[in-house]
Formats: sequence, structure tokens, C-alpha cells
Amino acid sequence: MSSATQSLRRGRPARRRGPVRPAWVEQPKAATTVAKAIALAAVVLLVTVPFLIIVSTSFASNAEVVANGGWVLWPQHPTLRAYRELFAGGIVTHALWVSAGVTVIGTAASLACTIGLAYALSRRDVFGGKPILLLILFTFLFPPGMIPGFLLIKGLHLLDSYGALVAPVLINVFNLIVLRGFFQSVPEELYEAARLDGAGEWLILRRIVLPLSKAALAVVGLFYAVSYWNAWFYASIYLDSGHWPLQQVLRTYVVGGSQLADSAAGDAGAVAAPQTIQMAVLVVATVPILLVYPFLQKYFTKGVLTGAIKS
Amino acid sequence: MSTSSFSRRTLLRSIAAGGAAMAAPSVLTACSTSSARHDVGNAGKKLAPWPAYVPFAGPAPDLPGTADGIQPGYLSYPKSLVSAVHDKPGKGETIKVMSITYGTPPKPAGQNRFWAAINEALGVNIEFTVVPDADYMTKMATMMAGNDLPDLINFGGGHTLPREADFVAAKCADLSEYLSGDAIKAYPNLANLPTYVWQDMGHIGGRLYGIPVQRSAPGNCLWINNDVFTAAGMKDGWTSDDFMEVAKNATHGKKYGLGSSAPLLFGETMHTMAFGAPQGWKLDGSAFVSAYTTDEYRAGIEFMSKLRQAGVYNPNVLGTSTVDTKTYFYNGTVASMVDGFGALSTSVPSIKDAFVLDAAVPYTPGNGAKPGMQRAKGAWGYTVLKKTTPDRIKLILRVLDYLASPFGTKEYELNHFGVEGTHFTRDKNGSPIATDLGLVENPVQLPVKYLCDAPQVLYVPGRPDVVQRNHAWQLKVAPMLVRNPAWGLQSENNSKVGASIDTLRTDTVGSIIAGRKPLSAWDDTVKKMRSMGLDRIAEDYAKDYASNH
Amino acid sequence: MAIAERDATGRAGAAGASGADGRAGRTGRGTRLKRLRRDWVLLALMAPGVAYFLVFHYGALAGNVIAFKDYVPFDGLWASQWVGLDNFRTMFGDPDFWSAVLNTVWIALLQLVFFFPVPIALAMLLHSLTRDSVRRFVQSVAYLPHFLSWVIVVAVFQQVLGETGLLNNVLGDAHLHTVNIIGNPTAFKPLVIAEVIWKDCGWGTIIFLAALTQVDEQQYEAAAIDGAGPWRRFWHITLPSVRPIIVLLLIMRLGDILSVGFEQMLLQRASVGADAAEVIDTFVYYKGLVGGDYGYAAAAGLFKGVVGAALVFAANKIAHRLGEQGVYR
Repeated sequence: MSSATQSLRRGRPARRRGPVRPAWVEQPKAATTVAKAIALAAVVLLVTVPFLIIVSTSFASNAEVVANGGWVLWPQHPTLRAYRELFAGGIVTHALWVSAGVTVIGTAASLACTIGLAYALSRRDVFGGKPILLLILFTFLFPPGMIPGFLLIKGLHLLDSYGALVAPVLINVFNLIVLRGFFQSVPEELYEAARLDGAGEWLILRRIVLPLSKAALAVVGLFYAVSYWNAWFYASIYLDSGHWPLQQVLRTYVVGGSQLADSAAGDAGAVAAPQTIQMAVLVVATVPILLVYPFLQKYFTKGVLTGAIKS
Repeated sequence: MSTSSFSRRTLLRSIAAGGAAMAAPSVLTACSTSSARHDVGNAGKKLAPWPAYVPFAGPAPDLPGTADGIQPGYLSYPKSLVSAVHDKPGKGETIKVMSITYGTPPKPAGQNRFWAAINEALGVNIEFTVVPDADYMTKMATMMAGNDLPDLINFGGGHTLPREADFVAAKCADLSEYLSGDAIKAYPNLANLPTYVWQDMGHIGGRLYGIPVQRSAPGNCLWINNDVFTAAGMKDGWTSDDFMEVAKNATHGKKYGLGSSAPLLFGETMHTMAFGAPQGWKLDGSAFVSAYTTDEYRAGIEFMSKLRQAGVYNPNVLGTSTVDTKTYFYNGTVASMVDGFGALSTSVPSIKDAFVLDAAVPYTPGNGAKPGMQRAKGAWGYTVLKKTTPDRIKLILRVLDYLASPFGTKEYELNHFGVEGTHFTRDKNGSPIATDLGLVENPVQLPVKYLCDAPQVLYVPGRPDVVQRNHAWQLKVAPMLVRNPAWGLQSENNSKVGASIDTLRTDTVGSIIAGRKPLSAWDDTVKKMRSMGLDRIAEDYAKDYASNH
Repeated sequence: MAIAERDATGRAGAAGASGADGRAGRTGRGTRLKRLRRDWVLLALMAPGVAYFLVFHYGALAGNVIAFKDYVPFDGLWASQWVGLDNFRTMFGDPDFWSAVLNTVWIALLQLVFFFPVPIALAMLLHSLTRDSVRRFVQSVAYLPHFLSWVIVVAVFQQVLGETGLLNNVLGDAHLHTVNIIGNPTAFKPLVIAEVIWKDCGWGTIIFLAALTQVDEQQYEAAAIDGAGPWRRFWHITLPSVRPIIVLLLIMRLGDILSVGFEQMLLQRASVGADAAEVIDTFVYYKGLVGGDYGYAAAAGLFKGVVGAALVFAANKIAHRLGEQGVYR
């Protein structure tokens, strides 16, 4: 193993906790600190208050919501009614599993394919590199339309299968370009050192590029996971309702309810979902994917590269 | 015009466009499937006669309805139910169906006892594809493109798909021989659909292709908080000036006399029709006149913009959803809102007697016109069949006949409430009350009622007072209801540019009432709509109508 | 240009003399066959991804041909009638289309100027925090709004800034002038930007935070010892380390410049009117999809693609001039 890769392992800084300021950093000015604190407090408040209202409304009673004109800041008599109604019948639970499965498998498949492609395209002068990159960029600029996409999925016999939720969106061009950009920022010296050690491309990818790009992989993985989790459009045209993922099922509570009276000739007899259920839908739709983030945060530690380039 | 002449022209055009290579397959397909451009107009066609109307003799209503769409009123649930269907329609065949839904998806067939009960009663195995309202346009477009049709498709919910009639004529079964005239008597519950329902659905290329889903006469009306409106001075025979006064009196602080949402457009239909504008189109001799070109429509917009200037609408109407408006109406923030008559059954339990709910009688407008009201289209939608053998068509019609079983029959009870003891129990008055299971297994989740349904009745469980009040109101406004004479007629131009014209119209009307544009902008818009194709649509309708009458 | 590129990287090739001909390394200019043999691992890594693009993008790309057709779904792609450039002619001849283009470009430019830098700034701010726990907390909170749908975001803004919203209640209670923000065409474009910032600025930081992990912390120390203050350290170390990713994101954004928040616009279009809120996507939605004119919609898509391609090409060129990698070389 080369000295470069060894020092890479040793050089990873210990995770810092608390206000440990390195000696070389000067004492910040009071004004700067106050300005920063105000900015951060504003960000936190602007976000948390609406979220508190959403969560509170989901736990309020219908009567309280109607009395308040749609929103509740803090429920007087918290109730799980909206959630019970949402989960009655087991359809939402089933959809939750579908979404979880599609998200996990889809993200893994997407990451694997994106890594392979991004890595190969990040290597200079790879065979066919530039034409392939341009052909891919072309698809970003000229996406196929909805109906041709449908006919293709039908032709591939993917209709009404979970594969139809993953296959058409396997690689996102934006994610690919971003990951390739990160791979390219790995210093050339590391490649040289590894090649001197006789490492092939496969080994370089696994031992050097991937470990150094953990933050980028976390980002791209998160982008994929969130897009799989939030996806509903393909489910709405490729899948029958028995196979729907969470977001498409939940849409029928929110959009279905509000659109209904919106079409003048719609069936006015059907009921729109009350605000409590709509907010509960929001909570159920977001909480599971929010839980992913804290696990990824550790990859956003500063200074992964620190010490890696001491050769 | 024949198909071949068209494909030849296609070929010429494509060569002109430099696409000869691509044209080759186009010619082949066009000839082999003969699907290019069907003539769906009725002009010059011998029309299939409307199906006969044979009213069903079930439990007599407490308050009689009419064949013209005034609902029969039932003060309580009928004590003894009759049977409307004697033989099971199927022998275990599988039928794939597709319809719009406004509910959440159904539990899978294997776990759904309502679905199982319907399958058992029909003697078939129904495979249901539900299409949420919000996905309707995209899902139906891909269904059409996919060329792999289910056995039964419902078109409805106020959506008109691009070239819907072309599609039906090209790909769906012509049902004329099974439905026209006395032939329908083989399906007594379908024969129970009044003639106006079939007329509002109309012919395609002179033939009958669908079975309509019936709706009664009352359409969008102004629902009022009677307590507030009475206190604000509402009286019988009010005028538009009175209406303005009442709305002003009902507005104070953060309470508003009138509630509206963006889609309801300040109650545009209700106000313009009160000012005497037709619903969509007016038949003037044999010519069609668009509502939007009439002085009455303009006067209605002017009145609404005055109402808005007076501050009697809830703020930012055009940024408000209909669900929010309903919430405001129920909690007293707004004292009225325009909604379909069908909203009655859901509003009553939501309001819980916090105030008296009434549908308003239109005011007499200041322009001296006779006030009108929107009549609902008799056909909310229609169900078509994939082309198939006569035996299978008959089977599917028997299934639809079962689903059309009228109120007061055992079949209706199953179709609408499910199985007694499982999906509903009866209260002391015999009204069916949904059980917990009935709340998740019912015809909202499994929308069989959009494939075919009984004619609607006026029945609100446990509320005979509401039934009486609203039945009296229906009789009172019946003479004011105005039908759109273009219903059931075909217009190629409408299917091409109708949607664009309508976007332009709602944009302008909204801008004028909201005060962003002067009323004079309307005159420019009318000119633009005419040049976009309003006049051509009028000609289409006139031609189609002439051959019908 | 290709030769210059190889010369620039020749250094790496010369150093990595493990290739078969002693010169190849990663950058040999051997015959096609040799390069194929050399790169087989990379090609194998690429294969699934390339297959995906061939099947799912190029397989359906021919569908864009409907831009030149009067497309009728049940007639099929080929049987539908050719109309040549009719769809384009109708589109370009419609003043409403150009009004939508103008709105789109305006909003896109405002986004580039007022939204695009915000996540970068926030990421820098977070990066500058010495206390890890605060950084993590703010980070986890700030990205939440990304998960709300536009319906909710618009509703939240209405609750706060609407005629009877929070802000006006406060102003009214204090006997100050109330302000008319929601439903006001003049205030609409700033409002749209504010909504985007609220929804996506926290989410947007993630990618820059990832880029910042690659900063060599020892450089800061060295610079500080050399007497560089916080600003100079920021200017010479922090910023350069995220610059390539900023350039990448900018170029990708330009490729998609004619799409600005379809759902966001659609939801607020009625309340401020088409003159202020009609963008290309909503215009196409009403003309093409609601009206069922798929050929027209496809034509608009091609128009957007061509504009995007031109911008990507130009921006990439400029990036090269400025010494950046860009998206491709």
C-alpha cells in the first residue's frame, strides 16, 4: 500500500465536538458573531414555525380547525383521529412499504450505475468519453415526451411492475454530472501514486476515489432517495392502484379532494379531505425520508482531504 | 370523407415536408387500421332513435319528482325494498373497467368485502383501474395511445379529452342496436334513465356509443347561511340591488357576505345567468350564439366587479382553493358560496346545524332580464365498451343494468351502502349508517357508481326537514333552469380550440373582477375568442343541431 | 484543442508509466484497439449507464417527432398527420407565447441573481461555524421546507403575507399601512423568488457543504500563519474549492433555464393573472396538454431544448476561457 493512501487513512481528522477553535483562528469580532447568530436564528424560526403549525393541525380536531379557519398553532385537545383515518384499511401502510422498497432498491441501483458511469467519464481520454458525455447531455436537454415514454414501458412489458418506477429514472443527468465533477476534483497526484503501486482502475475507484468522495456520494444518494420517495407521476400512469407507492396514494387524499370541487362539473357529492387529514398526510409523507438525513450528516465533516496529499 | 382520401393527403403532405421515408409506415397503418379521422358529426346522418323511457315502479317517493330532472324526495329510507334484477348478469367472466375516482384507492380485491359482494352479485370478476381526477387527462391519454383498452371505460367528471369522440367512434362498440328505441327494454334499469339524460350525452356520428351516468336538473347554485342572509335583509323577489345590500350588510370585520375560490371564479356562472346570460350557448332560431358574446354576460361580470369593489368577497378569491372556501363557509367566515347541488349531502353533516343552510333563489337583475339558473348536464359522463362480440356486449350491458338499479331496491342498497351488518347497520328509522368498515369499503373507493348509476333522488338520512326544504326549492327554481343547447352535439373546432378559448375567458373574467383590467378588456377578449374559433364552433353546432331537429 | 488537452495531462501519463507501451498510462494515444483494451474496466463500469440512456432515452426520443405532427394518440406516432412546421409557426406567431417567454426569462434571471447565490452563502456561513452541534442543527432544520409541496408553500406564504395574513394583522394593529403582496402582479416576481429561497435554500446548501468537505484544512492554517485574515482565507481558499461545482451547477441551470417552477406558477397564476405569471411551461400546459395538442407541447419542448443547448454550449466555452473545467471539455 502506498504512502499516499496510508497517510490518507491516518490523516482523517478526529471528529470535533463543541467549540474547539484551532489556535490559528483569530478571536471573531463580536459584531460578526451577533450577525451570524441573527441570520441563523432567522433561518431556524422561518422554517420551524410553519412546520409546527402543520404538525399541530394534523393533531387537532376537525372542529377546532374549522373554528380557526384552517390552521391550528397548538391543538387544544390533541387527537390521533386524522392518523387513524389515514391508516384505516391498510392501504397507506402497504404503500409505505412499497415506497420504502422502491427507495432503497432504486437508490442502490441508481448509485451503482451513476458511480460507474461518472467515474469512467471522469477519467481523461477514456475511450468514447466525450461523445458519450455529449449524448447523455443531449438527453438532459431533450427529454422524451410522456406518451413515447409510456409506449416504451409498455413495449418492455414493465407496465404495472415496480421496475417501471426505477428503470425510466435510473440515472439522473444532473446527479451524474455533479458526481463526475467531484470525482474530477480528486487530486491527480493520488492517481499517480496509486498507479505507481500498480493499482488498476477498479482498485483506484474503490480505495481512493470512493472513500474521498463520501460527501458527494451522500449528497447524490440523498438526491436519488428523495426523488424515489417523492415520485408519483410514473406510478400514476404506469401502475394500477394496488401497486401505488405512498406519494401517489397520499395525493388522492390531498389533490383528489381539492381538485374535485374545482372541476365545475365534478361530482359535488364526494367529500374533500379535511385539513387535519391533509396535514397528517404531509407528516406521513415527509417524516420517513427526513429520518435519513441525520445518518448522512456525518459524511459532511470538514476536511476529508486534509493530509491526503502529503506525498 | 373517406379514410383513404385522408391518408393519401397525409402522404402528399409528408413528402412535401421532406418526410417520405417516414410516411411509408404511416400509409400502411392508416390503411390497415382505418383509424385516421372519423367523421363524428351528426350532420347528414340518420340518427339512431333515443332509448325508450320506461320509469321503474319502485317504492313511491314522499315528494314526487319529474321526468325532467326534479328529484323525487324521500323523507325516510323505504321500509320494504324490491328487486330490480332477477338473474345474475354473469357466469364468472372477468371484466376490466376503468373510471375516474374522487376517493382514495380501493383495498385490493382479495381483502375487500364490498368488492367481493359486488362481484358475487354481478356474477363476474371485476378488475378495476381507478383514475384520480387529478391524473385523468394524462392517464386517459396514455390509455388511448396504448391501444390496449379495458372492456369498459367511463368518460366523465367535466373533462373532455382531446378527440374523445374520434376515439370512441374508432375504438368503441356501437351500441345503437342494443339501446335504441324499444331495444333498451331488455335492460329495464337502463330504460329507467329519462330521455333528457340520453340527449345530453348525444350521438356520435349519428349512433349511440355510451350509457350515461345520470344527474338531476339542479346545477351550481348559491348556498347561503340563511341566518346571516335573513338578518342582512334577504327577502323574496329580491333584485340585484337588494343582493348588493344584503352582501354588504353581511360583511363586517373579517366576515364576508360572499365566498368564492379561484375555480368558482366569483360565482361567475351563477351571476351571469341571473343576469339572463345563457349557459354556454343560446339557440337563436337555428343559429348558435355564444353566452360570452351577449350583453347579459357582460352585465353579470360588471355586477360581480362591483360586488368585489364593495369588499363583500373574501380576500384574494383567485388565490383560494375550493376546499378552503368550504371551510370558511362552514365556520361562518363567509356567508355564502356557489357549489353544485350535490354538495347538500356533505354540507349538512359538516355544518351540524350551526346555521340554516339554504340554496338561494336567483335575484332579479338590474338589466331587466329574466333571471336564469344553471341546469346541470343530464349526463355527468358516459361509459363506453371496447369493441367485442355481441354476447359479451350483452353481458356487460346486463352488468351496467344491475348497477343502474333504482333507489328503493335491494340492488341499489348493495351498490351504494354495501352489505348489511358488514358495511352498514340501520338506525331506528331504518336509515343505513356506515360501519367502520363501510368507511373504507364503499362506492367512493371502488367507484362502481361512475360506471353506471340509478337516477338521483333527494334523500338525506335522518333529515326529512332538509329534504322538504330543498324539494320545495327545486320546484320553485325549476322554471328558471337553463340548459346548454350544445350538449350532446359535436363540434370539431370545439375539441381543437375550446380549451384555449376557455383559458383566455377565465383569465380575463378573473382579471376584470379582481380589478386588474377594465371592463372594456372584455370586448377585446370577445373579439379574440371569435377569431380563435368561437364563430366556427357556433357553425359546427348549428349544423349538428339542424340534422337533429 | 484535443491535442492541447492531452499535452496538459501528459504529465500524469508520463508519471504513470505502468501502461503497456510505456507511454500510455491513462492518456496514451495508441490505436483504437489498444485504447479499448486499456480501458475495458472503465468501459465495463460505464456499460449499465450507457445502456440505460440508449434504451430509456434514445428509445423514446423519436417521440419528439410529434412536434411536426398533428398527433392523435390512438392513431399512433406514425399514422398521425404530418404538419411540418405548423406547430412552430403557430407558437412563434402567438404574442402570448412571447409574453410567456419574457416572463420566464425574467424570473429565471431573477432566480440566478437572487436565489442561486443564497445556498452558497448559507453553506459558507454554516462552514464558518466552529460549533459542530449548531451547524448540524441549523443544517437539519434549514432543509426541511424542500419536502413541502408547492401547494403548502404557497398556502404558508398566503397565511403570512396575505391581505388578512399575519404581517398585515401586525401592521394593522400597529396602525401602520397594510401591504398588498399576495395577488398583486407587481409584487409577484419578488414573491416567487422569496418562495423559492424559503423552500430550497437549505436544500441547496447540501451540495456545497459536500464540496467544502474537500477543503484542505491545513491550507487555512498555513495561510493564517502567513498573515491572511478571515476574508482573504475565504477568498483564496474556501471560494476556489467550491468554484468548480458552482460553475457546474450554473451551466446545468442554464440548460434548463426555460423551466421555472411549473407547479409554483400554475398555483398562483389565477391570483395575479396571466400577464404576470404565465411562463412557458404553464402556457404549454394550457395550450398543449389541457387542449390535448401534444404536437404543440413537443414543439415547445424542442424550443426549450434548443435554447438550453445553446446556453450550455456558450457557458461551457466561457467557463473554459476562465480556466474552469465546465461540464465537458
